[in-house]
Amino acid sequence: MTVLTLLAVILILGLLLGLPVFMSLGVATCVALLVSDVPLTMFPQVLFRGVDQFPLLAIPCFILAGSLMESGGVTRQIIDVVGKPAGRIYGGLGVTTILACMFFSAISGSGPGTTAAVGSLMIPAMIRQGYGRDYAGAVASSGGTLGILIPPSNPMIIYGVIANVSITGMFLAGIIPGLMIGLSHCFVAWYVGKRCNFRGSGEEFKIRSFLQACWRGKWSLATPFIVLGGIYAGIVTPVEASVIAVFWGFLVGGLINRQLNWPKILQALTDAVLVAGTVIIIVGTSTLYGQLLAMEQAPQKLANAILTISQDWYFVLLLLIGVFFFLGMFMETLSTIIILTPVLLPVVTKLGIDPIHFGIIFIVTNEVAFLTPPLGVNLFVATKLANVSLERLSIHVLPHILAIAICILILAYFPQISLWLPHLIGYGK
Amino acid sequence: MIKRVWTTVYEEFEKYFCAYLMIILVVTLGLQVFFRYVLDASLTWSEELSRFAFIWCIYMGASLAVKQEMHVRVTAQYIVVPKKIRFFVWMLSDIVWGSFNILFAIQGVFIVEHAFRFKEITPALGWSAAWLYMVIPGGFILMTLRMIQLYYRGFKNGTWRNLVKVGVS
Repeated sequence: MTVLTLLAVILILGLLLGLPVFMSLGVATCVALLVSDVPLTMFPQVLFRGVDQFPLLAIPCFILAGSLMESGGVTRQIIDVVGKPAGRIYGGLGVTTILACMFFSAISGSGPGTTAAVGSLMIPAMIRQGYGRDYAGAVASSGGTLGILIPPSNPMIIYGVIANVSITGMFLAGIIPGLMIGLSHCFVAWYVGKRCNFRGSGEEFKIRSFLQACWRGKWSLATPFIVLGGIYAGIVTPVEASVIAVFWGFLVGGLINRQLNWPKILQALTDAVLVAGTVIIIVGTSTLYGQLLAMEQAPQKLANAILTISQDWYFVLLLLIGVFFFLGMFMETLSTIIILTPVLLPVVTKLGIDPIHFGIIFIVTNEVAFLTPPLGVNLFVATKLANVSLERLSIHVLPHILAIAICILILAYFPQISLWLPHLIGYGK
Repeated sequence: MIKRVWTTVYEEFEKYFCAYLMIILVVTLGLQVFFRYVLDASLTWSEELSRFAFIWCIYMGASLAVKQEMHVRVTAQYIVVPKKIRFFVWMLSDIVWGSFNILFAIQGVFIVEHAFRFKEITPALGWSAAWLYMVIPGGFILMTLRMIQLYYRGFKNGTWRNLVKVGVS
């Protein structure tokens, strides 16, 4: 058996047995090293060096900032503001949920995190208002997917590190697709709300009360501008911005809203550490795995195989999107990105696809992965909050998945939508 | 008192350890930002210290994640495994995992020893790298210990069936 088949077969066997993703990669790497007579001590060395990458520090910091702001009452204030204009329309609370998710996504970089933050407040509110439980859960879990597309975004940071693409460029590229998909979710929430005759709170829209809510929540509302403004202006790096976000979250939640205490802070710290220990560790074990694949020329072989099927970039992209949809049913988002990016990047660049454009498509398709059973993390969060079964919820998110799918086709065919902003500011080509 | 300290260590050592590492990480980076943008001077050691805190967070956090059963696994295939043998397949995967942990830990000891022997020094802080590498053997050994603890409790309290986490409960 060649080293290449060994790497692939053992990885798949490990995953099927139920080994954690990082361990499946580790076991496959180890066996391959033994077979090819490389000293095994190389492995722990790469475990250390592979994660010794400064940009990755932004991930736990953004998680920490998100948790601090959530428990510091920031979400509540955001909902108060975005809920005002949506009071009178059909599915008003659903639209509010999506808008709040969009806003919270500009603070947090995680999908399930956004679902939990906004859903824990909005799902009970929707159920009280007489909206269906399925509707409430579906809206919150779909809105939460925006967490990884609207910057900051953890998958974008990982992708940027692995693909050697500017993270700021990725953050810029995510804005327009994020708004586009957010608005399409709003449309679905409104349309389904109208079909089911779910009414808004009935509160009339008054500029005065809207401005009052804005003023009350001014510190929370300023967060995205504080966090992202510096990155976009090119003043701070993503890591520095993530640290500023932590201090800002601490300031707003602790000193202004006065809602933080030591247990909440400890929980936020633990959230950040757990992401490091469960996800970033995958970067560690996958580094050597990726290097072995490269030594065996796997990316080139795969590229040649795909190019014999088709030379048309759009067709290949659609093919890959199909693969991501399928994998997304079983695999966790960040694991997919860590494992596939090094293999696929040579393929797409050979076809002339911009790495930033590909990254956005990759991340948008992973939004769907949050919503498709059997492994759909956002669904898991929402089933608990709305107290509905996974089966019913996964049927009710279908209109939302359709909306994302249509957006993906458009985004894939028009790279300008993603690339316009980064090129305007001078990232990418 | 001693008993209480022991219980905290026994139950939540990684949690507190990592929480403080995370605080060190954030404060160091915060200082770096402050020095760079407010005082217009740069710190030479902050980036290295925060990176080391981060790496320690990863491998100690992995052990915390074993205790909290939070690791990322693909579990959809368990739906087709008959309920009666699910637990045994799951335990088999944990045994494989636990044994490889020990293998990695042993390999980790070699790099620690190597770094001691050649007196490897970190560039900015001038620390002995061997101490930093200790997180690799340490983290992997702790992971296996936490796993044994989970199974021991599972068997003792008769809750071993709950160790299998397939999809949503």
